[in-house]
Amino acid sequence: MTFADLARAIWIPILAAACGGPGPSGAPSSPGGGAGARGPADPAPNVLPVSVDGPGCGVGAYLDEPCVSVTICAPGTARCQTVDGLLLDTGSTGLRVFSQALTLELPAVTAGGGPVAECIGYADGSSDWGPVVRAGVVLGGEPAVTVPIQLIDASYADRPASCQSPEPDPATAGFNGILGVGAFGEDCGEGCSRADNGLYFACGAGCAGTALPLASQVQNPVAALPVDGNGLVVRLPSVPPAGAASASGQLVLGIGTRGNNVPPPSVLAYPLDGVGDFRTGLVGATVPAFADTGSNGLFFAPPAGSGLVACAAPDAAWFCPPSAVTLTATMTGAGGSPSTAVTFRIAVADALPAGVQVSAEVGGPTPVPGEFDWGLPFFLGRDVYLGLDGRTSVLGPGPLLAW
Amino acid sequence: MAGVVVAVGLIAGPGRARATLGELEATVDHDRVVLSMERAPPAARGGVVVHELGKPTVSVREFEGPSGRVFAVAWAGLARPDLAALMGSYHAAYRAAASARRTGRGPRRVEAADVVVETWGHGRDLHGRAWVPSLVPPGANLDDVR
Repeated sequence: MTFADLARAIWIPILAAACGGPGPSGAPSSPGGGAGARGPADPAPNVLPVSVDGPGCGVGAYLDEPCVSVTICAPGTARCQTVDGLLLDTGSTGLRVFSQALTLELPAVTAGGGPVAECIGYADGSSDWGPVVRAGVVLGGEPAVTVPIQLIDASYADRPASCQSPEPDPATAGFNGILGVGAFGEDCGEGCSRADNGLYFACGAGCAGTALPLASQVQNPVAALPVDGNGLVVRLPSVPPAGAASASGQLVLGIGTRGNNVPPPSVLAYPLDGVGDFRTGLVGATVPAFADTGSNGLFFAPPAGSGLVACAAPDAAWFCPPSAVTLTATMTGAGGSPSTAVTFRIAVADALPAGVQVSAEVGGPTPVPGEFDWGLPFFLGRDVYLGLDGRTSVLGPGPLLAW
Repeated sequence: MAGVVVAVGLIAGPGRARATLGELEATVDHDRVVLSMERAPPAARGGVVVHELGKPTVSVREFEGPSGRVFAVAWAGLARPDLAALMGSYHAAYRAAASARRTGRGPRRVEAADVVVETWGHGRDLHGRAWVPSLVPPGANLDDVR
C-alpha cells in the first residue's frame, strides 16, 4: 500500500461522515477536469476508465462511442471473464453482452419453469434478443454484484415474430455489449411485473410473453453496489471544436460517497420524471429531454429558420448547416425547476476532419415535436451526475440529472 | 367479387394476416386482436379519423384518411408493438431499408419505396411512427401523427 492509498483509506470514512461538503483534494475541481486528471494507475475502487473511440473500443467503433470494460463471473465463483468494448449507455438499463464475446456458462433466470428471454428495443428501431442469465458483475474495483443480465443471441430459442431486427453480432452493432446505467433499477419495472409486456418471454416449446418479477428483470448493476449504489458521474474531457481522434475519461460510481464523486456547490440537480426525462426548451417549444451517452449526437427537431438542414444521403441522420450554428436551450427539471440555459454548437457533420471520432458539435434531426436527445456531445467537458431512482444522494432524491 | 378478394390478398402479402397500414379502417379491429389491445372510440381531427388502441405497456394510433384507408400509424410505450402486424405489407420494405449500415446510435428515419418510418426514445419510453406518402390526404399535418 502506497502512502497515497493509506491517506485515501483514512479519509474516505471522514468524508462519508461529513456527508457532502466538497472534498479538499479528492473532489473534482471543475467540469472537464476528467481525462487523465487522476492518472491510469488510480486505485479508487469506484472508477471505470471510459474510452471514447480509443483503445478499448472494438472493431466497428463509430463516432462518439464511449466504451468500458466489465468483468463477468459465474455467480459465487472465481470463474470470470473480462469483456471490453461495451457501450456505456445512460439511456438504457442493464448489462447485455453478445454471446460471441462471452464464453462463460451462466445460470438461466426462469419463469414458469422455462428459461426467460428478452426482446429489448432501441431508438434506432433495432432490438437485442437473447436469454436472461444470472451473473456476478464486477465494475472497476467494486465488489461483485449478482444480477440478471442479458446474453445477446439472435438465434436463441424460438424468437417471436414481434422481435424485429435483432442485432446479430458485435461487428454489426459496433460493440461487444451494452452497460446500461440509466436512472432506474430494472430495465422495465412495475409495468413488466404485472402483465405480458412485449419485453419478456418464457421459453419452452416456443417463447410466450410473460410477466416477470422485478428481481428477475435485467438490473442496473450500479444500483446493486453496497457503497456506491446511489448514482454515478460521467466525467469526460472537452475536445477542441475541430474534434479529436479519441478521448478518455471516467465512469465514477456513487454520488458523494467517496472523495472522487462529491459534486461541487455549483452543480444543480434536475429532477427526472417517471421515464427518466427532464425538459428542454428551444425557441419556444418545450419537449421531453434525456441525457444519453448511448446516443452519438445531439438529436432534436430543428427550429424553423435555424439553418439546421440534414446532410445529403447517406448522412441524412446528421445536420449539415451552411456553417456552424450556435443555439441556446433552456434546461428544466421535470417538476418545473430548476431552469437554466445551456449553449451548444452544431457543426457541419460532413466537414469533420478525417480521423475525427470525437466531436462535441454533431447533431441530427428528429420528428416534430419529438424529444431532445442530449447524446454524448453533451457529456464532453462537463461532469454529469445521474442519481438513481429510489436512492438519495447529496444532490437529493433520485431520479435526477445534475451538472 | 372474386377479383376484389384476390386484390386484398396481394396487398396483404402471402401468408400474412391482413393488417393495417395502407388498408381499410375495418382492419383496425384485426390489429386490436393481434396486438391484444383495448380500443378507444375513434376521434375525428379535421378530415382524419384517429383510432386508438392500447394496453398498459404500449399504445398505438392509426390515422384514417377520407378514402377510408389507414395512411399512418404511431406507437409509444415500454416496448415496441409488433410492427409486422401494424405495418402489414409495408413491413418487409422497411426492414430491408433498415438493414443498411447505420452511422451510429440514436433516433432514426428510414425511407423505403413507399413508406417512411421514424423511431426515437430511450429505455422504458420508445416511440415511432410510419406513414405511406402516397396515401397521406392533402392538408393532413404529419406533425399530428404521434
